[in-house]
This record gives sequence, C-alpha cells and structure tokens, in this order.
Amino acid sequence: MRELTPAALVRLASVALERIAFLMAEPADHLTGNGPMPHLAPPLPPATRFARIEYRGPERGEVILAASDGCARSVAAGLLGTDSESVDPATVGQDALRELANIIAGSLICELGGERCPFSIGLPSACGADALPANPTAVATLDVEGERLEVHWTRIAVAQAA
Amino acid sequence: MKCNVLVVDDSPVLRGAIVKVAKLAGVPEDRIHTAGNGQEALDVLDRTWIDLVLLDINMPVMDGEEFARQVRKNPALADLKIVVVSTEANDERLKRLRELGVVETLRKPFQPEDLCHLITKLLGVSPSCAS
Repeated sequence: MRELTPAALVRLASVALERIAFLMAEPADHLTGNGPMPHLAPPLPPATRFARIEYRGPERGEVILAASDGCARSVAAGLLGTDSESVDPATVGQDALRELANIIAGSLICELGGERCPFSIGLPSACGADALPANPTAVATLDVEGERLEVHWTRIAVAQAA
Repeated sequence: MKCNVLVVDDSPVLRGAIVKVAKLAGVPEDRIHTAGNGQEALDVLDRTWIDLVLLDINMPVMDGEEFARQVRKNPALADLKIVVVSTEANDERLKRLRELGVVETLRKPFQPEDLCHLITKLLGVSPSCAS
C-alpha cells in the first residue's frame, strides 16, 4: 500500500493550482516552524471554505480542502480569467474549491493506484470545519500567493481480501 | 463549418473555464452549449445539432458513462465525437468509455493549450490559442 507524504500533497496541489488557475503555491513551512526564518513570514489568512471528496477501491479514503476566502476567490478567478475581487467566495469560490478537491483527489488516486488505477472518486461537496479529521493520514498547508490552502488526506479503510 | 460544441460538467466554474478555452480555439460563442449533467446533455442533443461533446464523468443525476451509453444507442448520433475531460482515472471505466466510442481522454488538471489543440484538431476550426 502506497503512502503519501505532506510533500507529495503539496506537489499534487501545486500542479493543480498552476495548471487550472495559473497560481503559484509553496509549502507553508513557516506555519509549522520548519521554514528557515519562520518569524519573518506573515501568517496566512484563516480557512473559511471547505470541500470534501471520497475515493473508493482497494482502500477507501477522503480528501478535504480548507481554504481562505482569498484562495477560493483566486482559484475561481484563475479558472474563469476574471478579477478575483469580482468573485463571490460563497458561491463561485466555493464551487471552484469543490472542483479543486475533485482534481487533487483525481491526482491522489493515481499516485496511490499507479498506471492501472483501480480507484474511483465520488462527487465533491461543500462541508464545514467540523468535517476536518482529528487524525488525518497526512496534511499539507500551502501558501498560495499569500492565501491559505490546506490538504487533509485520510485513509479510512482498506478493503478486505476475499 | 461543423463546430457546435457541448460542454458537460456539473461545476459551473469548470464549465465556464472550458467554454473560455473553446472560444480561444475558434469556436463561435453562439455555437457553444452547456449542460450540468448527462440528462441535461441528452436534452440539448434532442433539440440541437452537436459535433463535439466535452464530457465530465462524475456528475449527479446522470454521469458521463451513462450519457455515452445512451448516445451510442441512438444511430442518429453515430457521428458525434465525445472527448472525456475528467479526473476519472479508473482503468476499467476508461476502457468501457473507449468501447463506447470516446475518441479522446483529457485528464484534469489539463493545460488549457492541450484542450485548445484537441478542439481545433477534432473540429478543424481556426485557433486563436495556437502559437
């Protein structure tokens, strides 16, 4: 069974953000004190938008994204080619975050399943902060051009062999 | 010129993004149609001639696989080209989709240029995104 590290989650999310929304992202190491000069980095805005998606196959799991309003706005604006200030984070921004969850989960199951991927993903949905898992398998926090994006991956269950 | 395109995706934002790429590929705006799921897409096909469908797979109400199955049951739609634009990665499902006549698969996250070139290749329109 393959494992995914926080660095792998950062890579998957960064590729998705760059391709679909032309956004640059980097690991937010300063939040965890792992960066070179954590005291110099400004704190990222808090997460206010959440999206969740499940996958199934040889194992079952979920991906939850937690993003600041500004991140959700920027993703939507990048997708649509509009100004982020014109994006309503509660509607268009939330929809963009759901789609980002869909895309990151799609990439994640390819990492887990390899070339002949046996996994399928469900439909992404909006959720609240209460959906964040207490014990995720891996978490990554990204600095998306000064905005927050967290990727929470949880392996829920492994299918039993017949 | 055959260039009526139907964009099928349950995400309004993604639909908007794909419509934008289709316009960059040279498809006139009034030739681009949209639907939020497979059933809505079948309704569009009932009333409009479509040459190319850009199809998401995981959607509520009717998913992309069932849509493709319904299309292949209709001889009047035999010439319809279907391109899957989706996060779908399941090997078995992708095989079924190819058996249903899907001509290309573009995995999200895709480069807009890749979708643009795919549209121009399949429709023969003049792209504004080509370098």
